[in-house]
Amino acid sequence: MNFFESIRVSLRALRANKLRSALTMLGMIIGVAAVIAMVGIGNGATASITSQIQGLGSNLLTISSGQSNSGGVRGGAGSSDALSMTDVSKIPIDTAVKAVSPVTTTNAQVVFGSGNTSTSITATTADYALIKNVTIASGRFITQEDVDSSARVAVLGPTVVTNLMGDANASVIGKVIKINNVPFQVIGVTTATGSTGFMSSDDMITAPISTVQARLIGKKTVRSILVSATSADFMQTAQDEITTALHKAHKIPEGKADDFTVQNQADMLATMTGVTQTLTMLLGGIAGISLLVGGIGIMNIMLVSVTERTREIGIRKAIGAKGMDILLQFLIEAVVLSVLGGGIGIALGYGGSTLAGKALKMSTSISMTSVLVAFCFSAAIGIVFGVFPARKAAAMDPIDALRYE
Amino acid sequence: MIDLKGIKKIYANGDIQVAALNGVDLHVGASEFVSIMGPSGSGKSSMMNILGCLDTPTEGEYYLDGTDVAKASGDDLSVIRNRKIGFVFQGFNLLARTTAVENVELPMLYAGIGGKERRARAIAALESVGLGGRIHHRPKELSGGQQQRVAIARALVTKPSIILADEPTGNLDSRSSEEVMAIFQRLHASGNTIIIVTHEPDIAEFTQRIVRFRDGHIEGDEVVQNQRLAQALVLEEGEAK
Ligand SMILES: Nc1ncnc2c1ncn2[C@@H]1O[C@H](COP(=O)(O)OP(=O)(O)OP(=O)(O)O)[C@@H](O)[C@H]1O
Ligand SMILES: [Mg+2]
Repeated sequence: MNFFESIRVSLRALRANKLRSALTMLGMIIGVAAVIAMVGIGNGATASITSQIQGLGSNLLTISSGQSNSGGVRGGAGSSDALSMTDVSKIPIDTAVKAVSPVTTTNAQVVFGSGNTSTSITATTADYALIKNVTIASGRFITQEDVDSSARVAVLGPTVVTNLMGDANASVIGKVIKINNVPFQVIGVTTATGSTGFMSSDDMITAPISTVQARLIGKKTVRSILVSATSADFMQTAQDEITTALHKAHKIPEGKADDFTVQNQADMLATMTGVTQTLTMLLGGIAGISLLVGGIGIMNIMLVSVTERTREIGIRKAIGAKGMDILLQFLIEAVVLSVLGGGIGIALGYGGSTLAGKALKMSTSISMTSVLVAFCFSAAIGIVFGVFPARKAAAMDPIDALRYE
Repeated sequence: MIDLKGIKKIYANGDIQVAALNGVDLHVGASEFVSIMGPSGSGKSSMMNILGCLDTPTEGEYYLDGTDVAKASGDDLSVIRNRKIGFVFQGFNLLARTTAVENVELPMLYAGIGGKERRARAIAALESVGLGGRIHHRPKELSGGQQQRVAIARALVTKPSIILADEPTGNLDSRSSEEVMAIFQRLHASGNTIIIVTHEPDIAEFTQRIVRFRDGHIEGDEVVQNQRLAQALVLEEGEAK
């Protein structure tokens, strides 16, 4: 019997038992959908974290107060007030260090006319634009004079403009907005970067750090200091220079713990993607187990089916079916169940992760490889878990099978 | 055609051994029409299963068309059953959820015959047993006699050299029985070798030779003196095409 005939015979048997076939597939559907969705969400999370960290700036070193254990991320970082504007001037601009800029962030209520929005205020200096690759769509960025004179000026992100004026293209330069009831003059609007969600550079206002400290926070807080190294090769040199400079400035004796932390972007990236990748693997692993359970479900049903159809097997053998014909028939049934289940699962997982992405406001990414792997994997599950029942069927003795009641 | 030499079939049930066949020698030539008779448990079915290559003997030689098939492997036996033997069972053994024509197509499926030819030959075979009007019926939509005729169509559709039937009329009333025997007589007339097992002497009278079994061996072998001619009764309404 040729292969296509075997497929037809198998499909007919599956159709004859629609409910059972559907229920058997359900295990595969759920398993594959779970794997696809979990890996998709995990990859999406990794990608968005990577792009967020990369979006922080190039060759970036971040100094934050609080001590750290060997460069890792630590919950307590930034909690004390170890950094000050003096520290900023202590870091030398040289071959390794291109620019230094202090940053303090706070949240504020912003009002313009009848429009009002809540957004984050980034208080910083002129070099921030250089370090973070901020580009200006209209107007200008804050300058050293603004900082020196504590000018009440603000640079708006495009999302803020939309939220305040209802239109991203509204002309706002020169207008006065109120940030926590303090009037600020708008001097520029940044170019949209497209980043959304937490730490979006589109939904924030940049203002001189001196003004924000005096008018909005009331303290001379410096949350962190951003340092841009001249190139990736100078990251380590820059980091060493910062450490030496701050050791001196903070008068930390040799061997005592630092009260600040220098993180470089690569470390952060590695830590964060490490975390999300572990999470992805964990989620994928759990989903994989459900796939395994789905496979065992197929085997279980196929075994029942073989027993139930013993007489049919006997009849087929009596009129000339060889072991291989019977084996193929049952194997194809198992593979069709698993592959069909896998296909539906892929579609469902794709839809599910897209929906989850929408709900959680994050991008999900389902790679062609993960689809392909899931598909091949479900086919493999069909073969692996189908072979045992199929061999059992193929090995049946025609006389015994015909006698079976 | 068929040559059995010292065939033994021994079933071992734990410590107890049952010799269903205890040294059977039998020769059946081409185009013979033989019935096997004997009391219940005398080994008739065991014999037929071996003849039909469904089972292998514990001991002895079985030459079918000159080759010893007693020691053939499972897959080789499948091929022999498919090419040379048409088997008709007492319980019909049709696939339940499958239509008459698809049941008849089945052996040709395993013989590797293409779909179009398969369908044409299956329909022709069903017509030859008077079921041309019932080809798309499922077994449960057919009477016992009709089901047995589907089974006969399935047995003869591959044009086997031997047709074996173990109590083909065992589940049928006398009218259906005679119809089935009429079909066998017609097949015999066209040159087929036919061996049937039966309990009923009047069914045996439709054949030409009676082999009598007792306790696993042949007790008698006689020629039927006055072979009865089975009447192909009028086909039921709608069966004639
Ligand atoms: N699978 C088996 N296992 C053990 N013993 C068996 C088996 N099949 C048949 N027998 C025994 O072999 C003997 C012959 O059985 P067989 O079925 O050939 O008889 P039979 O002549 O066809 O009888 P009947 O007319 O009732 O159909 C019986 O004693 C039976 O109990
Ligand atoms: Mg019997």
